[in-house]
Amino acid sequence: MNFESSEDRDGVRFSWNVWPTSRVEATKNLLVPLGCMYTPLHQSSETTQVPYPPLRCKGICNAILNPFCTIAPPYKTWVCPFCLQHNQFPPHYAGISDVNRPAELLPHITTIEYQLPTPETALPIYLFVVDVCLPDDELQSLTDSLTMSLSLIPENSYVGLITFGSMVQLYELGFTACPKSYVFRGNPSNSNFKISDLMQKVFFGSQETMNLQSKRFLVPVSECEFHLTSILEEIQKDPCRVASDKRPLRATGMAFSVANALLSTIAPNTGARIMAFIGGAATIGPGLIVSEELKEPIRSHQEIIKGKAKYTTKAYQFYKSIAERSVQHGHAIDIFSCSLDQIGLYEMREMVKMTGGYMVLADSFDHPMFQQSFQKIFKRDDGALKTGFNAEIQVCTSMGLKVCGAIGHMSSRNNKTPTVSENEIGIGGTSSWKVCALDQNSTFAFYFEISSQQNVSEHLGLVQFITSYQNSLGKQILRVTTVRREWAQAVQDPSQNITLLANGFDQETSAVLMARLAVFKAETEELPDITRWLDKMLIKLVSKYADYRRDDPNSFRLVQNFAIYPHFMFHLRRSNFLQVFNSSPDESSFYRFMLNRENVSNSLVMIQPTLEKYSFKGPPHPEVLSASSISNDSILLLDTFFHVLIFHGETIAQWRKAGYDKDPNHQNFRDLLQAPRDDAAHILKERFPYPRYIVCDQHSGEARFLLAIIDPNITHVSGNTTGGEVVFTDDVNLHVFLEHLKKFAVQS
Amino acid sequence: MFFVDWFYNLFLWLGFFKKDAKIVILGLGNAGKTTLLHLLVHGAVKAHNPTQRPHNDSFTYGNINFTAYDLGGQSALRNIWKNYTQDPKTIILFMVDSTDPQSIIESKSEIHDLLEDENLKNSAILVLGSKIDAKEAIGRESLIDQLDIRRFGLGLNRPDRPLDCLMFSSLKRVGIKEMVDWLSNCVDIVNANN
Repeated sequence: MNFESSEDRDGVRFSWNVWPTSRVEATKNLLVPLGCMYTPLHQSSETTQVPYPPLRCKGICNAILNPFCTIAPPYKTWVCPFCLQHNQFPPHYAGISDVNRPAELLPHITTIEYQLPTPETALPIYLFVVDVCLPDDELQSLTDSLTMSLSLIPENSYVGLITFGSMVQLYELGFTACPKSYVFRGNPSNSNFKISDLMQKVFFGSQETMNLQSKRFLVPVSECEFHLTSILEEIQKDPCRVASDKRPLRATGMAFSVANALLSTIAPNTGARIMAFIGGAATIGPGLIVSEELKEPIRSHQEIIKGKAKYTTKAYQFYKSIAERSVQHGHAIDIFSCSLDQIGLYEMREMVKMTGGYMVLADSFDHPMFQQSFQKIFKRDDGALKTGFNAEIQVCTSMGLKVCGAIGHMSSRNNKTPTVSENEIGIGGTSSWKVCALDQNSTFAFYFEISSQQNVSEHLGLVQFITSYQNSLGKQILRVTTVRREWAQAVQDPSQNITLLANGFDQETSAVLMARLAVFKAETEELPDITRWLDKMLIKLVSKYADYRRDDPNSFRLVQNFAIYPHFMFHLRRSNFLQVFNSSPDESSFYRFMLNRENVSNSLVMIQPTLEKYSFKGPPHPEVLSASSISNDSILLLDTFFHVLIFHGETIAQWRKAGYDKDPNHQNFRDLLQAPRDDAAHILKERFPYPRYIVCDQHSGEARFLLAIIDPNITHVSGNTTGGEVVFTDDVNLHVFLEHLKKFAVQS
Repeated sequence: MFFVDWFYNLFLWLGFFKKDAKIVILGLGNAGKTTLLHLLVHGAVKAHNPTQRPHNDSFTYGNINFTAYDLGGQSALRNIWKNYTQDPKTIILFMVDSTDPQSIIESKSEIHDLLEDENLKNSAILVLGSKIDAKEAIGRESLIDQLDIRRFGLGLNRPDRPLDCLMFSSLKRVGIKEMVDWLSNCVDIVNANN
């Protein structure tokens, strides 16, 4: 089965592409959840756009007219395949015939975009929230990047500026005679104090209405570019003196409060993003994660697990409440964390996760990981930013199918329709979700269940995704994707049903859906329990679908479309998503965040990184991610999504150090060195956020990025007999893992 | 007093009074800091990515509960070392790859910076030579000379602070017990001094 074609056309991939016909069958046979990965803004050359609004079913399903609806002469009505409701075509749909159909009824147009004739809304708003407790050179780099971005933001977009250190400053960009700002205490004495009330009183009096038109704090770029540039040029480091045994005072929480209050007062329900640039830990006011005293270290995974992290719960609740208010008004929050130590991403994560914002983790504001990532956000294809704002995704399911929940950067709308399952997976109990911002990569995992007690195969098996969003030009778009899958209903021989199910198994999507579920569980459960759960599920799956004789591990065979699933699970167990040793809570939050954002192929790179080999022995080719793939006379290109690493084997490194690449007689060698660089450049160009790029030699310190991730099939214990690199580890290798898996799977 | 001490020691032995100690592990990149911490906490050797951001873990030895902070060693990351050595009770482990002559030279200047730092004048420092299982590894005496620390006088009971140099291998589990014993003794001295 070709699972990629559905992804190319509709941006959808299911774990199971043939569905069991009843609940009993499903419970027995679906040992990976039935689910799909959906990319609402997936770019396809086949996506049709129409300038009129859609027809909605009058029944409870509220689904939209699609190619799977039944229409028959005289074409006056259509039958909704989701709820079987008969609907009248409106007069302007008269004239439909077998050969003349509107686009949304053409069989191949399963994804369609309706441009709604609603009045255009304001263009998306960008509110910068800038940390000023930075070293001078970093503050300079940051303001340079911000100034540069002003030329990339669409000129009618509104921008605003807030800076924070020990105090929070809100700039009145509409006042151009001189820089003017309102200052808020970083540590308000009254915890009940409402910033939005204050804004109402102080800034606007009682008569003036507060909206974008007043252009005081949020002003179109075209009208304030010069003024804002000069303000950015003059931003000063926080004046508070910092003693050598203290951290700078950073009122990060207060800055988010002010930003949130400003946007919800002036621009409720308008696409907007708060872009926060943070260079250190929050140390004052609400949302602080550590005290000012350096003697007190920032919390770690250990302290969080043991409940000993003093500020974490309170800070987490505080930032989550900001996230909830932002979701209510459709505003996304981005965090650019640029520091060598933690800033509190762990506590702040819900603000980004719930709103669909961007999260970038870099070493400093002058590092390419920040600068390149930031620029990429404003990169336009054919004149428009391919981003959506203030979106909502609704899911309709056909008879016998219910939606259990979703995992991704979204929030529940608490819309409990009859198609919502009691069995919650991820963010459940609803059939629609709010997404404050999304782009072409934003991918959401949806989980379903077969709910029918009886055989449901007489109805079509369908799922419809309805995404409404505001595009970067301020237009309202409704994108509808309707996909159908077959039932496992062998007409001749019901015992063949299991083979039909097996043929429809997409191991890549399944691995990603399981990974998202594991990471979702990691929010509340302990990591060893999650690993055991993954193992248990894997054993159950393979013992159901592999060929073997009872109690004979040697007879164990997996068919092709299950064969590498155990490999994915092996690497997932070892990955940074489920191992927190050598990671700070901020780093773990970032890694898990990215897994919950990307599509199937990018997520697979994160779970099982790719390795490409370059040598004189033949053309470049993919290599197995194992210690035996390393050799002295080759170059490897490793892509872990977060790191892109070029690894020169020992001999290659010696030749390079001897300057052979500069010798005109060694054009071949020059080409060999250049090839992986070109391929790496290609990855760097496409990737968001910009990864850490490393060029290193065998046996160097940085080679550990490779050694830590490969399957350690050669170790100091096993000894090196076959070539390859020795990895110093007591870890289990893939071979041992698979042997154990076989043993458990064939056990009667 | 004898009875008081006797009871105190009995309780210690029964595990009622656990002592807490803080360690910070410094050293250049690829010295073996994270590997050692993983070994101390989980009892196994593992291949790790270069550490990017500080993290910690804890392990218990005797009646002492050690919390160890593992900091990245690459040059850009060394700026934040000072944030983790503020508490004078923190014992500093400085790890040196005993197989890498270049890194020993660089380590020497980092160690001397620590020794000369006014703010750290009472902080205990233990220099650790790692990877002694490798054939390129140099011995303790040679490392002490190359780091030029013999002139400070080494030992637990020096007047200003404990300062010493020990050798170990995570891979072969050699020298680990001696190291943790040294740390245990050091905790008492540090607590008495501060």
